Amino acid sequence: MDHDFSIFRRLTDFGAWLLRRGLPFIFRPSDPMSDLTEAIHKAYNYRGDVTVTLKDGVEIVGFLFNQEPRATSRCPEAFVEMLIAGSDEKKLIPVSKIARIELTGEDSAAGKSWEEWIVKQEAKKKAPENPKPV
Amino acid sequence: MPVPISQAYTVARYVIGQKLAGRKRYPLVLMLEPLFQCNLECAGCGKIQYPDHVLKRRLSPEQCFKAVEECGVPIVSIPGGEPLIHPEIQQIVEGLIARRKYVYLCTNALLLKRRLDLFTPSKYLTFSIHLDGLEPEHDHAVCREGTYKTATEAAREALRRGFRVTTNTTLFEGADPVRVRAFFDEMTAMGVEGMMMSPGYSYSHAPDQQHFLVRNRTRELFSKILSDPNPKWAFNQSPLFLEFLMGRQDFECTPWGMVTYNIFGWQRPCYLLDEGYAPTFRQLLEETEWSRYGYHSGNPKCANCMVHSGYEATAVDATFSSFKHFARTVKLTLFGFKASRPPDPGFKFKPPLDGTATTGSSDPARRGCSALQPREREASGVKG
Repeated sequence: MDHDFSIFRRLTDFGAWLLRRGLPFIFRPSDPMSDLTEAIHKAYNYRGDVTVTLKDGVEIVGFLFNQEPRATSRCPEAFVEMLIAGSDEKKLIPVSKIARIELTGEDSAAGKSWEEWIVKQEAKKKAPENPKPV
Repeated sequence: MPVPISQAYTVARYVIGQKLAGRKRYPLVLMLEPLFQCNLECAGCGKIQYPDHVLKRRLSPEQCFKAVEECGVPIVSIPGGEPLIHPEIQQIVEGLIARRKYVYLCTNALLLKRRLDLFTPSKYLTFSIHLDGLEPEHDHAVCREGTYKTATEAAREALRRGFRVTTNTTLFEGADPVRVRAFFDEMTAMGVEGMMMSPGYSYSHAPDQQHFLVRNRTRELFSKILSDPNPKWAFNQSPLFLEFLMGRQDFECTPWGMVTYNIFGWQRPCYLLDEGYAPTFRQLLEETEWSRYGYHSGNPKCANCMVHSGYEATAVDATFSSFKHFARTVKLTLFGFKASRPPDPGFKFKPPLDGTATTGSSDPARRGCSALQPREREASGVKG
């Protein structure tokens, strides 16, 4: 029993220590900037439209075609650029104004890789030419 | 002579002019993409995998002329998408010819026969027809049967009408040197002015590792193809670049050598990698971190690349940078490749900084087309 009690005590001590530290390694809130950078990277590499929600609540839908992580002559901070669906407009959006990015349009690359084409061709070759109706 | 003397002279004068002006970075060719839409749907092609509203966009002739004047190149290559779909392609080509630019209209030639009447034969205009090999290989590469027949019929018709016609071929892992040589024989017999070829783009993160050519295999393949060549073969590209492909020259990439302009702007850093866009040519040159790219940069995306868009401009620049390279170019142009010339004793193969030279692969993204655009697509897990 002494041995069990000792373990129990150690666990409670550890629990108290975690609480004092604010459960840093269990409930550490994710880094919003890092998440946004990752979301931009994903959106840039996505072959469909995305929806960018700004911090003021405005939503912009279009194809994210450009990303610039540094300050340049165009913008003093990191930015993304979008082609807005149904418009000729190219919209430059500073990253600091972005709240959220979602991949909302159809992925035009899905199922169209070379490997998938080869698999389909091989399946076609194996299939009987005149399949009998079930 | 695979290109007219006037074209060779124009290029030579331009390159020497750039050198005399002390320009470290200058483009030789503009890859002008007036649209992304295509009438083929080659599997994995990154140029056509966009939402409809992007595919429907076109560069206007004025935008095309502005881009050409901005960068000042002597040669304009028009790939796409399929440029013959562009409703104003005639005006674009005529406008470029009026500016005395040598235009290579890169086409799959499916529409060429019907559109030939739009054009007038000129030393400034060449139809560069995309053919990735003999009929079975080409039709397989572009994922549609009958394409080779249609394209070669159109090529014959263009030749009959007096147009300049070349072919452009991308070779991937598994390419059979004997079949490639037979293809070159067939194109030569057809009467094309010259042929262009390039290995497919390599990228170590591509999922389809086994289909792509790493540098050593690229050298092996091109050595087999080009050793003891048919003396009638003519290549519409720098002989030093062909020697580079064979492992007889060591060049570093000049990603600014063939700059790309399309509906998004000036593509950064090169025709193959798509890491962003600059709104002006000047910003492209001045604000791109060029040291991050090229074989010796250690960038894994560049580790296995030997593609013409990065290295042909280097080869042309080298021709006018030393007497040795100039003399070699003249010799190869006049006398062709020797059958079994050993590798250049001065050739030093330097592995990239991260040691990926023998472990990477090429990108399957643009099989069957030299217009590779490997934009990483993590969401779908494929390259395109």
